[in-house]
This record gives sequence, structure tokens and C-alpha cells, in this order.
Amino acid sequence: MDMTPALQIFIAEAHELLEQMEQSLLLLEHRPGDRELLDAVFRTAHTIKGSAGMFGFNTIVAHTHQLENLLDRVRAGEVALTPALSALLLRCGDHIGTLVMPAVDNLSLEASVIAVGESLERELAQYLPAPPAADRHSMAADLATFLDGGPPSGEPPPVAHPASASMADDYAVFLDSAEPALSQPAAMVWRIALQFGPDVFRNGMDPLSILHYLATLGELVNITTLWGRLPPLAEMDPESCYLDMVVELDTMVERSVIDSVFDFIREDCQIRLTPPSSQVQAQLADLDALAAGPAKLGEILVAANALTGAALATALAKQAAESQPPVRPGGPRPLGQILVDAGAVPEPVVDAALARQQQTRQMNGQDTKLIRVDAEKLDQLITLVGELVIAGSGTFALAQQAKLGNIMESAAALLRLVEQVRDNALGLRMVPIAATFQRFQRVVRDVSLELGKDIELVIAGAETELDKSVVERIGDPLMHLVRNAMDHGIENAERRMASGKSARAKISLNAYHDSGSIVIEVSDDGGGLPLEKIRNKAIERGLLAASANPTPQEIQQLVFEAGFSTADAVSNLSGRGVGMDVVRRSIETLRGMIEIDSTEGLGTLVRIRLPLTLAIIDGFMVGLGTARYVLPLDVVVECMELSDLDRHSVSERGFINVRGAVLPVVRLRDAFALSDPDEPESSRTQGEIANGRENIVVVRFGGLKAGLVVDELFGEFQTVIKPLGKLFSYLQGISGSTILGSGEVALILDVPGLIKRVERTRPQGCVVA
Amino acid sequence: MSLEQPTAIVLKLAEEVNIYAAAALHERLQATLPESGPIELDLGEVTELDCAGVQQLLLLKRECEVTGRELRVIAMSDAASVVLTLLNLRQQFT
Repeated sequence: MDMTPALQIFIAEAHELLEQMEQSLLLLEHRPGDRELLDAVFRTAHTIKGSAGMFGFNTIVAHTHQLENLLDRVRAGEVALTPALSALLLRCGDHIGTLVMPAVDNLSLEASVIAVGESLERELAQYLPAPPAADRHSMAADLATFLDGGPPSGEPPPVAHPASASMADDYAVFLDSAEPALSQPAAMVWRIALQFGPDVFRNGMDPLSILHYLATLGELVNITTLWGRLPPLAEMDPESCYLDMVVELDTMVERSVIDSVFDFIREDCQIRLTPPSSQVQAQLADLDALAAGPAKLGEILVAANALTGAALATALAKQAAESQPPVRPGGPRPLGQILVDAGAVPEPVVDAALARQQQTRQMNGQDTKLIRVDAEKLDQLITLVGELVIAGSGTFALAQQAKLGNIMESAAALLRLVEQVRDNALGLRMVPIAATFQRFQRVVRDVSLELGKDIELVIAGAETELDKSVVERIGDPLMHLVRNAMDHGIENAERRMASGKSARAKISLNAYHDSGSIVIEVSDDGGGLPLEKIRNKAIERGLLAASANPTPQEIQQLVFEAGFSTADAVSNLSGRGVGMDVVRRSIETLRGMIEIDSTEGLGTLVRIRLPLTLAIIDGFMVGLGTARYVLPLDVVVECMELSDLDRHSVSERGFINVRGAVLPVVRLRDAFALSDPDEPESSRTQGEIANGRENIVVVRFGGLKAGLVVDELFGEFQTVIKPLGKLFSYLQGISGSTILGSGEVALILDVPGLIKRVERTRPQGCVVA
Repeated sequence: MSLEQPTAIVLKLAEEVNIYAAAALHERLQATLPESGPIELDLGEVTELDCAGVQQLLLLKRECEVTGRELRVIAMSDAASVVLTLLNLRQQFT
């Protein structure tokens, strides 16, 4: 698929706009009278139509046109925004979304999509008055194009044109150009007003040839020749031109093409192009769609295709002339006024452009310029920065080995800069989670209707940022959790009332940063997890020994086991038993952790903890014998030496006493079953142990702490995470690998996994004092 | 060539009625228009008509209207008709 950048932007913008429209519509359901929201919905629909029109995606234009008509009536207060209408509007938005890709790929629509479109059109039509006779044709044509699913076939429909009004009227209009025929009934008819200069004939030009040329661009619908400027017989110079013309040209070509026809007579002639009224709309839309770009009125108009560069130059020259003596009474006119007076641009377009100019200035003031960057380019940058980090560490390591003071200093400075570059590069990929969260407004709305439950979604911490690649992969698990909460968590209204809760249930999505991770919480105020039921089911499925006496916390975590579902009835939404374990697995592939915290009768909270990024971390390097391991620095709390007393405690009981608190400890050497190279075969002597000092690294993850016993501490180390191959996916306690400056490979420890392991082994021997 | 008759003046324009002939035509109009009586315009042998020519025809038409003289078109070649139709002026010359 060969797509131009403009098309890519169109696709991205269309989706953004549709999302905005959806959000505004959802908000409107809560604040039905909100004029601004309604305007926002209208604007987005309008902009989509405008930009789709620019690319000639008629199916989208036709559908959006209907939508816009209806919205206009809602704005005018002629149609009330009922829940049913709101639902219809939402579905129309969805439908437009499905039209975008086929339009761009120039594919014909599937029958089902067409059927959806037709039925939506019919529903929309119910809210719209029967079109007046003049409109009926164009609507039918719209609908026909829509059904064809392609660009309009060949010729535009012939334009019925009223017998030309009395010439005197036309002439007055022409000369004053107060209202440059904005009221043209036809769809794509340009009005071209030509006021020929006296020297046209003398310069060898015949207006007839211009007409012939124009005829090649489209259909000459009507020509009005005006001769009001003919002087009295005696004063007339037969070789001067006194004629004026108003040409109505039905054409699909762009303004600049029409304008170029007049290149040869531009100096002798005054030319005013008035776009078809529908084009005025399109230009308004263009202005809307125009990204914060040009700051000058003229440039804005030219960019919006509402004015040609040449016409702008003329107007600017006129403005300059007015500021020269003799100064025009009242000073030179503003450019917009000149353009309107000259009939070059219709007034509404100038107004819109001025509004856009104002907006641009404000935006520039806030310095919030955004650029779109291909995600792939960002990924390449991150990869390169990763390589830079590795190379930088290598240089630093070499400098250290060589013990060259000044080189070490310079390498350290370099490393600091690389670190900053890394942070900035990663920051580029950070996006707020808001977009992901907002999608759930619609999901909650739709599902709660489906389930007949009254559920409200509360979003907090939407501004929390996390890596784009994480955002993309968190959507599905969250969807599962939210649906689960709605389906199983929230009781029906009667049960809620009976237990003294408000009939309206609440689901919250919350996000915040916590020690190098992002935490996302999905909570509901529903019935909570039925512990007894889970316990019974777990025993039934053999997940739990009948004799076991697990804590409530442990029972709750069982829902994440494969094939576990407590739903009495399998509903359309969830309860098929493929829910929570799938969620858990997808979270774990993101190097995250999921836990559930529920109080029976009061609600459930599912907490997901994810690393901020998947690419590069600040690491903490430790050594076991000759091997190197890396821990994410964020999880390291403190380091301490393992005393002889503690060593004993570790091997005996698996925990030590740290400042009066119990700290479960695992010896990494044991955990990875490494033989001790310092220990030739048999017994170690006390002395040997004293020489081979060991250290404890205290790590924390998700509220749990543990100590890891290692041989050596190397300190901070920037780590570019390289995933392990599939072959090693079964490895416990290892989450990835990295390349050291020396070229050696170090393994990255899976701290959550290790902590879990410590947790599991603890209960047997652990007697908490 | 113009022929004067007691009842009507016949104004016969032939061949090229364009920018090159405009000055001569204008002189003829200046000579013809001050007189009285209806004018019969013969465009039957016009082979080329351009906007400069059209302009003279319009001048003739307007002067007749102003002075209340009758202007009848007694013949019209295809070449002339095409141009006048294009300019939406055909109905002015009947």
C-alpha cells in the first residue's frame, strides 16, 4: 500500500477526530444542554467531512454530511438530543471509522458495511425534515454515491440554472460585489467575475479565447456579458475593451487551476473567483483542519486553498498603496476587508481565517507546538541510544581499567550526557494514559446498557505517562478487567439497594507512578470476590489442597490461575474462564505484576504494576563469582554486608533481622544452583568464608521486600534490555539480558519473580517474631 | 456596404468583424447613428466575430435603444450566431 504522508495524516486525524467526537457525545449524555460540547461534536463532524472531501472520499463525505445536517438541527434546537439519538450518533461515528480505511485503500465496501450505512442513513433521515425539492436531488445523489462506494461517476449532475436574472441586477451585483453570489444554488459552480481592462484587445487577447479555455476545464453553465461600461458613441475607443463578464463554471478542478487560466491577462484584468457555496464550507473546514501553521491572514487563506498567491499579492499591493499618500480616509483597510471588498474571498471564510489566526497566536504563546513523528523513527532512535549507552559504558570500563584519570573524567562526563539523551529519548515515547482510559467511557456506557446496570466510570490520573509500547499492549488486559468488573463485580440494582449501596455503581480507573513503575488500578464498588466459592472451586479443580488453610489474600490470587472462573452463568462478556489468567500472562510479558484486593460485599481492586519502559533501565550490577547480573535500580532499597550471624540465619531459616524487621532472604547462588568457584570441593573453612565476603541487596517490589545474597556489588549500570530468546523463556528469575561494555553478557534478574519465590518459600520456616 | 433606403437603413457587416475592423466599423456607426429611421442589421456574411466586434454591436444596440430607433437583425451567419450565443447575447440581436 503506497500511502502519501497526507493520507496518513488524514487517517490519523480522522481517528483522533472520531475519538473526540465520541468523547464529546458521551459527555453530552451527562450534560445534555452543554452548548460547547454540542459545538465540539459539530466541529469534529464538519472537519472530518472537510478533510474527507479534500481527498474525494465521497462515501465519508456523504455520511458525515447527513450527520452534520442532523447535528445542525440539534444545535438549532429543532431536534432534542435524546439518549436514542445520542446512541445513533455514536454508531454513526463508528460507521465513519469503518469507512476510513476502505476509502484510503480505494477498496469497495463490504455489503455488511454498506447495509449498516444505509440503515444509519434511514435512522438519521427520521430526524431530518423532508428535504426541499431543490435539495432532494443532491441528497439522492449523495446517497447514490454512498451506495456506489466510489467517486461520483463522471459528470456531475446537470445544474438547473434559473434564467439569468435581469442584467441590470447582475451588473449591480458584479460592480458592487457586496454579495458575491454566495447564494448560488448549484453544487460545484464557480463564479468567475471578469472585469477586462481597456488594453485587452490591444494586447492581442480576446475574451472569447478565455471562455474557450475555461470550457475545457468544465461546463460553462452560464455566461453573462455586461456592457454597462460602454461609453457614449463619440467617446468610445473601438480598440479599448469595455466589456465585463460573469462566468459560471461547473468544474471539479482546484482554484489554482482556474486561476492559472488568467495568467496571460492578469495585468489587464480584474478577476474574482468565487467558489461554490459548498466550497466555502470546505474552505471553512480546511481552516478548521489547518494545523497551527502560518500566522498571517493571507498565508492562512492561501494554505486553505481559499485564495491564490497572486490574488494575495494584488491585495497586499492595494493595502500598501492605501497606506501611501494620499492616505485613504480612515487609514488603509485591513487585508481581510480588502479581500472581502474585492470579492476575492467570501466574508465567512475571512472570519474563520481570522479566528484561526487568533488561535494560532494563542497556541504559539503557550508554546505547545506539536509535530507528528513516525513511531518507527522513534524506535530507531531508542535503539541507537541503546547502542550508545552500551558503547559509552564500554569506554568508561576501559578507562577504569587503564586507570587514566583524565580519560575517566571525560568518559564520566560523556556517560552523564548519554544518560540525559537516553532519558529524553525515552521521554519522547511517553504518552499519557488518558487516551486508553477515555476509550472505556464508551465501553462502560455500551456494556452497562447491555447488562441493564447503571454504571459510572470514574477516571483518575489520566495524565500519568507511560511508554507508548506499553500503552498499546495494556488496552486488552484492561478491557478484560473492566468488563469483568461490570459483569461479575457489579451486582444488579436490587441487590445493591438491598445491601444499602446506591443504585448507580461505580468503576474507577486510576493510574499513578510509584518507584519506577506505573500502577494502574481498576476498582469497582460491587460484590467483591466470594472467597468461599473461590476456595471450593479451587479445591474442586485441584488448585488447592482440601486441607490447606490459605489466607484470604492467597485465595484471591487464585482467580489468576488458568481455567478459573466463578461466574454462575457464562455471559456474552466474560466468564468463559479464559479471563484473569490471560490478563495475568499479558501483564507478566510486560514485566509487570498483577494483584487483586477484594473485600466481600464492598468491592474489588485489581492493581497492575508495570515498568515505565521496556527498552532501557537504570540497572544495578552485582556479581556472583565471575558472572554479572543486573537488577533494575528502582527496586533496590539498600545494600549491606552479610554478617556471619546473618549468614547462619539465612542458611537456617531463610530470613534475617534487619533493624528489628524480618527480611526474607534468598541466596542467589542457591537459587541459580551455581557451584561456588572459591570452594574447591568439600568444606569451607571459617577463614575462606570471611574472605569471600557476601552482600545483601534489599529489593522492594509492589509492597514486598526481600534480600538477595550476592558476592559482589558493582553499582549503577545503564542497561539496555535485550530480550532472551524463546529458548530461555522457561527460565525462572531471569527477565532478560544485556551486553556489558566489555562485550560480556549479563543477565537481568526478574525481581518480581524472585520475590514471589521468596514469598512462597517463606511460610514453612518463617516464624514472625 | 451600407445602402440607404427610405424606410430603413440596412447595415451590412461582412467577413471579419474583429479588432482589426473595429475602428472602421466604429466610424460607420458614428456616421449611421445620428440619422433617423429603423436600422436593419445584416450579419449574414460575417465569418469572424470577436469581442471587439461584439462590443460595437452592443454599442449599436444601446444607441438605438437610447434614441428609440428600431434595430432589426435581418440575417445572421453561423459564425456570428455561435459567438453571440456563447456570450449569452444572442437574444439581444433578433
